[in-house]
Amino acid sequence: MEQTNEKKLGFLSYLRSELDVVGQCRKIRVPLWQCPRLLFIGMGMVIILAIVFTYFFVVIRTEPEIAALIVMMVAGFLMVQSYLILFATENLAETNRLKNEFINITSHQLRSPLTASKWALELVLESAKDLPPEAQENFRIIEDSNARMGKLVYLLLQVARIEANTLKQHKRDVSFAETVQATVDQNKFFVKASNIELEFIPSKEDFEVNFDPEQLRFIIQEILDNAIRYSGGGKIKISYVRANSNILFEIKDSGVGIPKDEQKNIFQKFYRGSNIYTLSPGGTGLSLFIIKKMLEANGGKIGFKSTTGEGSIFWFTIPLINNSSKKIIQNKNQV
Amino acid sequence: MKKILFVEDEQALQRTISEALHREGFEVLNAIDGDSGARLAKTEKPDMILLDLILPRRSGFDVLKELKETEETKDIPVIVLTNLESPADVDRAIELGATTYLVKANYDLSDIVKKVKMAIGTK
Repeated sequence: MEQTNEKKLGFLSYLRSELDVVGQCRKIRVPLWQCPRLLFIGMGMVIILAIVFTYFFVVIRTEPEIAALIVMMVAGFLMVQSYLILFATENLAETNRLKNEFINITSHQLRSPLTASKWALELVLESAKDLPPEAQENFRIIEDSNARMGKLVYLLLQVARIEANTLKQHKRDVSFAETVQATVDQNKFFVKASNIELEFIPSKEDFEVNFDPEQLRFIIQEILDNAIRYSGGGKIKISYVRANSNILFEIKDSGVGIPKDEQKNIFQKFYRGSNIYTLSPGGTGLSLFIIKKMLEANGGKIGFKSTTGEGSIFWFTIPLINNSSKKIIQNKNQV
Repeated sequence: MKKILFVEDEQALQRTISEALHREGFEVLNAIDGDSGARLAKTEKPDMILLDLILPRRSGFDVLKELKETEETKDIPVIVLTNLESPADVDRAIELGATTYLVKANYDLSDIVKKVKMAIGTK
């Protein structure tokens, strides 16, 4: 019943937004005289008015020449309006093309110098063992800042690609168990440094998913990173199981939680909860937005339950490949 | 000493990779555009080629195509090292005969060296 009401409300709000023609035109940022939606409605109205007007005119004045002239004038007007619609559509297509080009150029031009400095630092750090500790520490700071900048560029590029509907995916069959295990291992130091007890319960089966491996790693890493960052100590529990034809991944933390009135915004881009700034002032509010889009592009879903002061449970699902799984022997891990 | 040709127009990247490969005992030849890359590949016959795709004068795709169509270079393994990452670019490079396709930003320098060693068969 509640679900039906939600669907009705969703449909009504969709209808309201569709009927708000001016709002829709503003959304795509074109002048009203170039807005295809408004011009289309205008064209329809002109056609109706022209038919009605011609009918009455012919009833009063019976000259066929006058009627033909009116029809020609209306046809001319419609042609001009059609041209405007065409012009506006071409304009939008061109803007879209330029945006995609910009993303590609930015991707290359921003990432190249970042990669160069990352690799140069790697070389320096390899031979920096004899340097004083302060100098080594400074190099580490440069390395961390470079990594953060690299991540920021990656996040912004993903957002731009999502918005341009050009999110790139190099899909292949990936072991879910191996990806989770590798991510957990990679975070052991961060977990320990954050004074967190991490309980990881791998499934007894391994599951294969058809997913971009980089994106799968990103999703698990970011969800785990959020749990660590916003736990402020405490406990994190990770598990995954088969749920019908999907894999269900779950991560439970005992962190600050998300205030109830803010929960609806959590997957919006740049959104950050009001109670997390002190725990992690440097976040971007982009990860969950990107994760949701990446999962949805692969038939997956994401959701959460959260109580302020008690913690959150974030979960996501990914469809399994032909429901296939293989048994693995692995015990409960405690980090 | 195994010889590697690195075709890359960005000097900073060229310098870092060359140094890392030198440290591992490789001889590294550098080319800064597509034309000189293709020419050096034919005259020097390296054991492996690291090839960027966005290059001055001639694109990496053109160079790769030519190398794979030329008798004396067609068997040299080519690792594409680029920041282009669209599936279409990856497919095109692999179809043209690239051994491996690596997106620079996704790898550490040590990973690149490992990939080179694997491709050249020295690991």
